[in-house]
Amino acid sequence: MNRYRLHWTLALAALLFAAEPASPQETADSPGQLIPVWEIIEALEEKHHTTIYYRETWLADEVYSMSLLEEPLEEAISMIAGRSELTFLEVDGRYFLLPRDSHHRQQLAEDDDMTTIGDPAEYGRYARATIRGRILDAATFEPLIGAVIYEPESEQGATTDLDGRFDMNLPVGDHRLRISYVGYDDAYRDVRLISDGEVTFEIFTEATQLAEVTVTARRARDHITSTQMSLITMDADALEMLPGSFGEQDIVRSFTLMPGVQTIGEFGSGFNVRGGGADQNLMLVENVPLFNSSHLFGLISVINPDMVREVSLMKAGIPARYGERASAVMDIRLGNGVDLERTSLEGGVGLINSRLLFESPIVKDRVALSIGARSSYSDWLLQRVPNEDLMNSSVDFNDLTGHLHVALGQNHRLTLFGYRSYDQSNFGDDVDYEYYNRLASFRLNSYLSSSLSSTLIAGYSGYEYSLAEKPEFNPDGHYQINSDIEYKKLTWFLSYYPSAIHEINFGVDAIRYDIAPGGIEPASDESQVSPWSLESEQAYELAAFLSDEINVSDRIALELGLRYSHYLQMGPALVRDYAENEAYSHHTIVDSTQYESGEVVSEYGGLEPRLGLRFGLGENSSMKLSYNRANQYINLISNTSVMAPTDLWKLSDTHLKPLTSDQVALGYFRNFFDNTVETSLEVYYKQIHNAIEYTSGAQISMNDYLEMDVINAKGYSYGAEFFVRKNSGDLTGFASYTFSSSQRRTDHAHPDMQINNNNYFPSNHDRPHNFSLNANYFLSRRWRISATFNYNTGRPVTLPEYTYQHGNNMLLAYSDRNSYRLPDYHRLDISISLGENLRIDQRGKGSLTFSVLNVYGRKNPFSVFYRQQPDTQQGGRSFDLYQLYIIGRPLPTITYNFSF
Amino acid sequence: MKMTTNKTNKLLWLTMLILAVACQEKFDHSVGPLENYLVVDGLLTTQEGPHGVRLSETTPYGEPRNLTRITDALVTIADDEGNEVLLEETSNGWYYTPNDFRGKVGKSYTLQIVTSDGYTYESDPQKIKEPVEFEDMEAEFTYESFYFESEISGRIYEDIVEGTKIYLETLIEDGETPRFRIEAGLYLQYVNIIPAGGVETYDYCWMIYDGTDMLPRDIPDFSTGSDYSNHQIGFLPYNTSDLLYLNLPERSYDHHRTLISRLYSLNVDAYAFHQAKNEQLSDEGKFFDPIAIDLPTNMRCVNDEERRVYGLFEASSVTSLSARSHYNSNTGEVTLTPWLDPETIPEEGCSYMEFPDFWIE
Repeated sequence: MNRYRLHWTLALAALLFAAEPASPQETADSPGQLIPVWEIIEALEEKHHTTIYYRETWLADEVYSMSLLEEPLEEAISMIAGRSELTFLEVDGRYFLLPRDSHHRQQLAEDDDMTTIGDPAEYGRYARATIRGRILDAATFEPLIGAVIYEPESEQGATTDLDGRFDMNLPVGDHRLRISYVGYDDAYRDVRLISDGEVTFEIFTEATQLAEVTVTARRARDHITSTQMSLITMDADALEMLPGSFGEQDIVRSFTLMPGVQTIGEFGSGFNVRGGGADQNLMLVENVPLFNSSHLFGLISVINPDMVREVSLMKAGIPARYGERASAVMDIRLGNGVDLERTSLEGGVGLINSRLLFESPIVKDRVALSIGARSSYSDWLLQRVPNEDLMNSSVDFNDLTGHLHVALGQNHRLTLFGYRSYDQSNFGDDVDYEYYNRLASFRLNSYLSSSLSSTLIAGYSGYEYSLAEKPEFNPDGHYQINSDIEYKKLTWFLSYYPSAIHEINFGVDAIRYDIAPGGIEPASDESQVSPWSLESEQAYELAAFLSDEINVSDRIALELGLRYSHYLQMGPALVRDYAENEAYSHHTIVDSTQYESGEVVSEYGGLEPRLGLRFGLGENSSMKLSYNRANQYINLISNTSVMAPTDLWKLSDTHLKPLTSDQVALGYFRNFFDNTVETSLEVYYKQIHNAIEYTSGAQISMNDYLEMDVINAKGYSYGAEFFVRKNSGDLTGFASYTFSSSQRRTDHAHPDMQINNNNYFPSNHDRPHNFSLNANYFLSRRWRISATFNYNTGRPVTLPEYTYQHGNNMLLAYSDRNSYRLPDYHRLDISISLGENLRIDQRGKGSLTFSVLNVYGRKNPFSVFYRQQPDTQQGGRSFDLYQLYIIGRPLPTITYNFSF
Repeated sequence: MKMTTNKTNKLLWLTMLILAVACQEKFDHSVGPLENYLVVDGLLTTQEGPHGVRLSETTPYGEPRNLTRITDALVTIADDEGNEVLLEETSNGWYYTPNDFRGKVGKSYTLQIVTSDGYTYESDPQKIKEPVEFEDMEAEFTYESFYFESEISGRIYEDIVEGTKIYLETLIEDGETPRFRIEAGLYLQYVNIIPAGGVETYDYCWMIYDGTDMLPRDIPDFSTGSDYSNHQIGFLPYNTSDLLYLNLPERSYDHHRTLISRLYSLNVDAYAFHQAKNEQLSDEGKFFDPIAIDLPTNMRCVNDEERRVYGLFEASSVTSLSARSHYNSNTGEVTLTPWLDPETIPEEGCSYMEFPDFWIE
């Protein structure tokens, strides 16, 4: 921005010293006075408190009447643009004058003078010289990372670093450089190289005529041009357009509107991707996994949405550098890098919780800090309930996120991240439950040369919970159960760009798991409980990976990857051997082996090939194919259909084999209407081996013989996902439909270890039809209304089919596993928002959102459970089934967001 | 140990209370026409016979509870030496052994049933384990929660009842605590006043209330590392007025805080069944619905392996005991006194104008 103002200033200064007299002038106050275009622009900027970006050389040497200032801003700009055969774009209240189309753009670029690099006085002195350049986005002037500069005659290339900088050594003389960047038109620049020198190039995106940038997923053509398929990426702006949850954006809930992604319901943590369990998704926050992703038993995400920069969900075709989980990878990036312009404070106040975000550059363009915090205050509600126990109860949470970016010179970037969350619930004095997440990571990106960069990551993640029971009338039995998991990792990989058509990544991962599955201790001085604990688990997961993304031609791109993972379960551990083909029980134990600390107890490993292929069908369409295999050595043991707070993370061992999945996917991608409408159709098939199922009545917690209650199963999933999204205009939104199936079966010889006689049955995540619709309409630049509708087939459940009498008890006999379904799920949410004031020079701003969840009060059953009732007719007791609704009526919420 | 019990329920209710929009409703679940299956409820003990097996049918869920008995079946019990005894159907669906037939400790017994529709069912061999031996019986004065439902509002209320908990202390052998179940009840006395020609006469009546059929609760819940394990086998309400929680017919009872118990030793199959039964009976009202607990059975259909059959043929040895407790409110001590062999006391009856031998005055 400033360099164009500088040009204008210099030009004006030149005019003042020019010999030629100015043309006849009128006074500055005279509306009819004619003034140069740049003066008009500056006057418009001052009057309307905005900023207008333009390139001097594009503007025709026109003069304008002062009366133009009386016109509405956009009409005035339109007139200026029209005379220079330009168009304009408004983004966040700022205006950009741009060429109308790519041809015109190219023409303008070519009309520019050849750029001379070096000192003309040294012409002929050197045989070769180095260009130190920088590539920027022509509209926003942000550096473009990973842009490729190629000189075809010498076949030399370079790639920009984190600052958009590159070095290229060429013979002196005239060269035509080609600049390429995904989502941007290829640009050509003619340079005359005389000696070492610096240059900056700006290039344009391919989207030109966007009236409003609203749902901004990745640039619209990415899903056509990139090899990666089954990828959903959202930046902060896109997330803001999606419906919130209880007054704030919820990362996880937002993604469940996307094709192939589901959740059990309003309660419960996690999400399901293409029929996989929630524990089959690797949820990374700044490169470390999160083990419990929600507050308040699943009501609110643990991720502070204000700190999110971008979230990517890979459902298939997962790059080789990701492993650890079988279904999907969600990669959450926080913070805004070192490019923070100023100190800011923003936050929001809602019904249940509030949040605050502080961001500040510490050293301009070098060090930037972001700190976010949230806290709930639901106790005030409980204290108003006329029940003594509830008045003495509490449910609350808080979390704190810190993010520090440091630029160490031009070639190194350091990112430090820390996070802590805390949830607590207690019911009177009887029950007390707490859980914590702790995350920390260190990331060092180094630009080693123009074609080589390195990334080093060290990370830590910990999750623990404790549940205490202290009933007043049973002091003997006061106990507390604790459980925790710790995860430590070290990752190092190199990115190598030997030429413009190859991007090679290779590296290694080393992960250490430590799990304390459960320990009991007395919770008071009176307690008679003897402390004891389950044996802890520890293991290593090591991996090496290599991938090459190859631009074979303009139409064909290929990504070949290979990952090898190796797992070592370490002692101490007691391993029991069971009689072959018998059910695991106390009476089929034939032997046991005690492993000491440091001994390898069990060992697994395997290759995980990754393949991606893109075939361009034209300017706006492509087909893609992917295959990936993934091994997973850690599972969440949960015998409920949703992730419950007391679920247990369990490592693979002698009896519990690693879970393996193979997935193949095929997709067709097409954009319409100048990339303003994106569509895609994907089909997939996934096979899973060694998924975990449970025997009837499986005991999960504090079970030293867990292998008796879990069963290895296999399964498959398949589906078709259709997606359409409109990105621009006053009306934006998307629609998605998924048809899918997810089946499981056991394969054991003994009937006690079979489910449904080893026949296939629907998995807990089998929901054949899934439809989502989201629409946003801008009534004005600040007023927006939104609506979201979601429909899912009811999830499978196991329900009683018979009653029978035994002794004096009436008992239930259940159907085959998952033979029935809950009623279908559907819900409509609406919201109306008043956005921030668009004045750039206004510091304090606020926005207000009023929303109604479940507008028509749909009672979507979350779970079905039975309860015994007195049978007044026949005496004794009988069973009745009940269904629980989480949000069984319209729920209005209001949130005020502010920023300084 | 189950984590998703009332504790988690309370926490979840708390969380949803914040929203004030969650609710529960009856779930309409109809199963349509289904074939019914055999239910076996058989018990063979070491006590004097006869020992009975009840055969009935399942009822499709949602239909009125209707105990359909299976008649005209051929029911036999065979031991591991090939001896076989035929059970006689003495009333609809009930099949009994001869009076002089009883189980013996250490022997295994197999139940075989041939129903009139041609299916043959057989149990796994059931070995009778040694009777439960306990080192000591103790009691302490404490409190227990009872939940009752208001007939007016339908709301569930909790009440805290004073009383005596009775424990058995058993020896842990080879790292295993003995497996047994309890039929624990109260000995109740009451008096019927019968007017007779202007003179009051008295009927001295008694009944043994079978309160619980349960596995013992281990107190404390996790007591490993010790040579002994304690099992709560009963709770005696201190106040007669608290007997209303036991849903007894209305009378003026006096229970003299007397516990009557039968301890049934359980083999592996029987223990698994009763454990699962208790789980099912107590696993209600859970929000995170667990995988349904279908009770295991030791019966199978011989001529159709996939045909379902429910229930249990149990073979157990029995230990009977009774005890009276006395609570000294001044010292807080509870004294436990062994009482009569409960097998000598009829289940119920009355004695006109004469105290029965076992009457507690």
